[in-house]
Amino acid sequence: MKKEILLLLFGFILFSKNVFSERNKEVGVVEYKKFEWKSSDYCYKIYTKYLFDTISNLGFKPEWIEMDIFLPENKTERDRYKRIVISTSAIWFTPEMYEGMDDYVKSGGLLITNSSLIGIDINRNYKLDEGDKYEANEIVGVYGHASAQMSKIFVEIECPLTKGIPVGEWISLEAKVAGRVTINKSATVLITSDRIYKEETSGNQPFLTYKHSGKGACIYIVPVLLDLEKNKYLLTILKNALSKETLEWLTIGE
Amino acid sequence: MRKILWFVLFVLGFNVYLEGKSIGVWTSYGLQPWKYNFPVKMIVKDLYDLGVTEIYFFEQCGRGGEFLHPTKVKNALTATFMGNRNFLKELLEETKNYKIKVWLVWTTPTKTEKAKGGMYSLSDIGLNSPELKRVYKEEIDEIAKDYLPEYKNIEGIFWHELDCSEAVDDHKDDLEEFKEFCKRRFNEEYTGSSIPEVNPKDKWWRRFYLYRNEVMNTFIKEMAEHSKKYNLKTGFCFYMPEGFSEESWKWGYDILNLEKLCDMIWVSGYVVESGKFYQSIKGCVIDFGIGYRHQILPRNYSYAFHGLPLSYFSAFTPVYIEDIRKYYSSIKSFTEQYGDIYNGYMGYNEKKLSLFYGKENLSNWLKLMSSWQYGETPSKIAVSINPIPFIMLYPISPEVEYKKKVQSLMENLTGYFDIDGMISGSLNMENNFKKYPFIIVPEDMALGLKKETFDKYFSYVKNGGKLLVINTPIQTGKEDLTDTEDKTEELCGIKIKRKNLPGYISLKSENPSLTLPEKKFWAETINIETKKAEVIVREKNTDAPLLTRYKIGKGEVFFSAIGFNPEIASYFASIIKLAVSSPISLEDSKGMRILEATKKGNAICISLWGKGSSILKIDAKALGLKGPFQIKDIVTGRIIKDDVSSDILLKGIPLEIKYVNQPFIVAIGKKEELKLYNGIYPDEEVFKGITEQKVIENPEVPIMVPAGEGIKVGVYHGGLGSKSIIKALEKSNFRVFSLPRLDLEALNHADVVIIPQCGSPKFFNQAEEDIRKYVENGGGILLTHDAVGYREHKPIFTEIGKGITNPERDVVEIVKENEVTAGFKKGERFVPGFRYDHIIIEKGPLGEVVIEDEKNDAVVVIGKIGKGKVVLDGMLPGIFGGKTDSGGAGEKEPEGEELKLLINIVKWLGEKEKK
Repeated sequence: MKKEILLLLFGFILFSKNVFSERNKEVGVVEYKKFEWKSSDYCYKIYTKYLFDTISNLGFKPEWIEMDIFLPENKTERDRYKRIVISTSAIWFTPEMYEGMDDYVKSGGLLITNSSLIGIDINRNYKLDEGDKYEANEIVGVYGHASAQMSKIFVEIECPLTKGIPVGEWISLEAKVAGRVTINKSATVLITSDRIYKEETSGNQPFLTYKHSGKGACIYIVPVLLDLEKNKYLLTILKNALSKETLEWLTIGE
Repeated sequence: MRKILWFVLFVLGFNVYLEGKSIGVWTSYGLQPWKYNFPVKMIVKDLYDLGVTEIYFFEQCGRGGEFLHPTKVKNALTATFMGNRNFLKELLEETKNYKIKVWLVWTTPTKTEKAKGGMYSLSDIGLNSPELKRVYKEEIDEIAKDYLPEYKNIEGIFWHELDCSEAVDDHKDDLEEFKEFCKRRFNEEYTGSSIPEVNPKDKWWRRFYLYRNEVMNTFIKEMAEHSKKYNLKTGFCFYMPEGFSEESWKWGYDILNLEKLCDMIWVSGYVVESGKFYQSIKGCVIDFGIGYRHQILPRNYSYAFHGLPLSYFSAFTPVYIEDIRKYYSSIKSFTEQYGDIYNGYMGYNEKKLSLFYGKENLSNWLKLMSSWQYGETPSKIAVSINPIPFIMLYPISPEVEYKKKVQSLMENLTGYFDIDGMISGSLNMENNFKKYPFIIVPEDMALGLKKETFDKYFSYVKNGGKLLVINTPIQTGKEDLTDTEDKTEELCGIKIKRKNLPGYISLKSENPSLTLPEKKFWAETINIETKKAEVIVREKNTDAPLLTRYKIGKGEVFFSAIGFNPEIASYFASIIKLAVSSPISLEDSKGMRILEATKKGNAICISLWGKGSSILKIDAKALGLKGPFQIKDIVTGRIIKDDVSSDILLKGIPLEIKYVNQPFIVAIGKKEELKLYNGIYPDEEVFKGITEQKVIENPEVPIMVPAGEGIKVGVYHGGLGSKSIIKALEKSNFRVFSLPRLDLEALNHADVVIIPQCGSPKFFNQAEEDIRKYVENGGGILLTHDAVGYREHKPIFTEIGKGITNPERDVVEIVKENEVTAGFKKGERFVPGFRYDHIIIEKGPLGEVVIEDEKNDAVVVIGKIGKGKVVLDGMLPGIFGGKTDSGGAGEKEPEGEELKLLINIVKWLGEKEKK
């Protein structure tokens, strides 16, 4: 009898939704140290660590998470995070990790990415080598490939993600910012910017987007998040992306 | 004495039922079983036995073909296969004896038809051609002169499928006429050098759309006026353009003008809820369409309890089962593709046939439904649509938005109330305002209202009517949607500031009567400024107003800033309950809904649908019904409850529909009034398993997989182009074989399965689960044209994509370089063999577009499901031909780029994942 009760209890713990799937962690930042490429250390220090520290300075308590968090075996741990942030230098992930990101968003997570997530580590060896390729990512909904610069932005609509930035007028950024040449595929563009490609202005492009899928969403901040103290609007965008209001708006929060 | 009096009243009443009925039937001179022999006596006698009162006789063959009476009109042909007979005269003679009225159905020619002679020898056969109009007018003269004096039972001319003539007329030769139209109607010169391209934002295109409508209206106006000289009526076969997936803006169908011009408008009433909007159109006849393929026959019958004039298509298929079966089984090619005509081609298993087809079944149903004819609607709620501006907004595939904004609203709310439909600006609008104290205006259905229509809405509210406006501006303007004026504030007391981005919202309200969703939900909302309106519901976090109420005179207008979605149907139902008391409602419905309801005398009939349970509440007092009541299932004759008081009816009667697709028509009235309903089936058990019976296709045919190396490719035998695909792939070292059926066992013989658009999608739809399992377990599948999930083919892989429309375009472009497009360069274009159209695919979350067309719509989408792969190809490899070719389309091996693509697809699908 005792055995049966223990078994029942074990079964309850194992299958109880609340025990394992409750989202009780606020922000995870993907450390991205495991992937090897020539600039990995440099990029970690310059971009990823900087982003982590900025998020801390904004009053959040971010946690480092491994890129493997997106693998199926880590689903339970992954789904504890309300928000997962990916820095601009996290470019390559394995197909399974991309499936995991998709599942994270669809099951109610908020993925905030500063990377266009186009690199695929085809042979799953955590190294940039022959065979790895680039492909537009459905989760992001925006295809970002070559490098571009942006000098002014236009907020299309007022919403929690654009709060605090003037709407409906072109605003010059305090300093030019770098980012990807972006083409919108299926996301909603909230801020548009100019595109300076090879030192020439060549039209406009998305600057801040979101895409809702299932019960969650993916926010893509196109400009590289660096030197934010010099670019107050970028800081505002990051702050907004992490805000409770945005979380409420874009995820079901279960 | 009282009993005798009741009996007399009952007999009188029953006679009134029979006398008052109106049932029209489409019939030709005879389908293939009788070839050209036209068994007129048999047909008319059988129709008379069935209680038919009007015949719609296809008096002109094909589109613009021969007439079935000897004609002397220039450019009109007489059907030579009649020999010395005169089919029209024979039919009139026979029907005269039975007092059956006859409509002469004429179908105009189309520019795509390859016919010669007769009308096709005219220099122009467009509906605006004076020559064509001359021929038809002279035909009317001939009928009036040669037949009308003797046969007073000729009712009129019934214009059939004129959309097919108008849609294919590009009007390139009518540029000057279009310019004149623009000048006359809009007082503005059109300076373009060609007809405007479809573009909802371009007023010139919108005017071109209106020009098409005018071409149609003018043709009908001239024909109606000519017919009227002889007291002949005008009928019109109307399909609802707003609910179609194709470019229905090209049809020229403008219901508001056609209503004024015609005596009779025929509409289909069996397409989910769509027919309801047309029920109050003047002269409306509603078809329950049991002769069409792939219908849910019991539902088609159940939709026919609206009390209005009925019609069904057609006289032959539902009745002469054995003759038709025998004929088709003798055609080898037909049997190879479809098997039995009823099981395979039509999609009806033996159980369905035994319950819903055959003269006796049909006769029983017709008696049942016609006994409620000329009753009145008891509904107090109507949904109002404004189709013409809606089509101008969504010309390419209006069905997509229509389903989301209107059909889904109707379907879901009928789980709570009996709901009718109406059309803004129709002739009966005033009557509708009197009938319905509560009207719902769905999204995009209040744009471009005429000033007088808006004024009528305003007066309706002022005089006590109530409106619920859902997430849409109220706007008046010219018919081409220019000079618009926003009237939302005037009617709703709020101002629309802008459209919000969709997002999760939560609701709060101090009104306890409203059922607010407990959880957050994803919604499309608009940002409103409350001017004079009272706010009833707000967003929980932002306080944004989401439901307002504005009083005007004796009435009020509710404005919902949230668009409808099925997830929050109960919330919308609670708004309706707050505003109006529905005399017929369902409570706690689990799957059941109200299709139709009719009140006649002291009885009411409610047609219910959907396996499940519910509590039916009837306010007998409000309906003017006097008890005690009996509640009866008139399909089986089962008495559900006897001696029921009005109070008990008001509290509710628990009901259950036991089986999927079980027709359940409940009548409530005094016992004596319901006596004639003894049921047409012994009990509900007859409906057990009517959807379960699967017909195994070609069970005896063995599957022969060629021996050797290479990818095993099974090509479904019943597809368009299957034979040519097999031939082409055999030359490319694949092990190709024909798949005689689509069950899992058969599918598992192949590494790759190709299912082209099926001649009969019945087996394809039936195999939905097996096809998915096959792919999930690692199989590769290529679906072509409609099989991607369009029209009658179920969308099986919606994660990858599904078909949404089929424009007449024929250039495709590679947009992605990968294994499927190996050997092609991005941006490379080609023209596939089949050039009539291709299916546009709405990509799903797991799909990837590899080929688009010249308008950047997706044509080939690929993706992975489970361990397998899917390719949805909107083209039709294996079939060649285009509109301009002589001889139409036919099978031919794919070649050039199309063959290259096909081989790539098979290789990609057959390649196992490297992990």
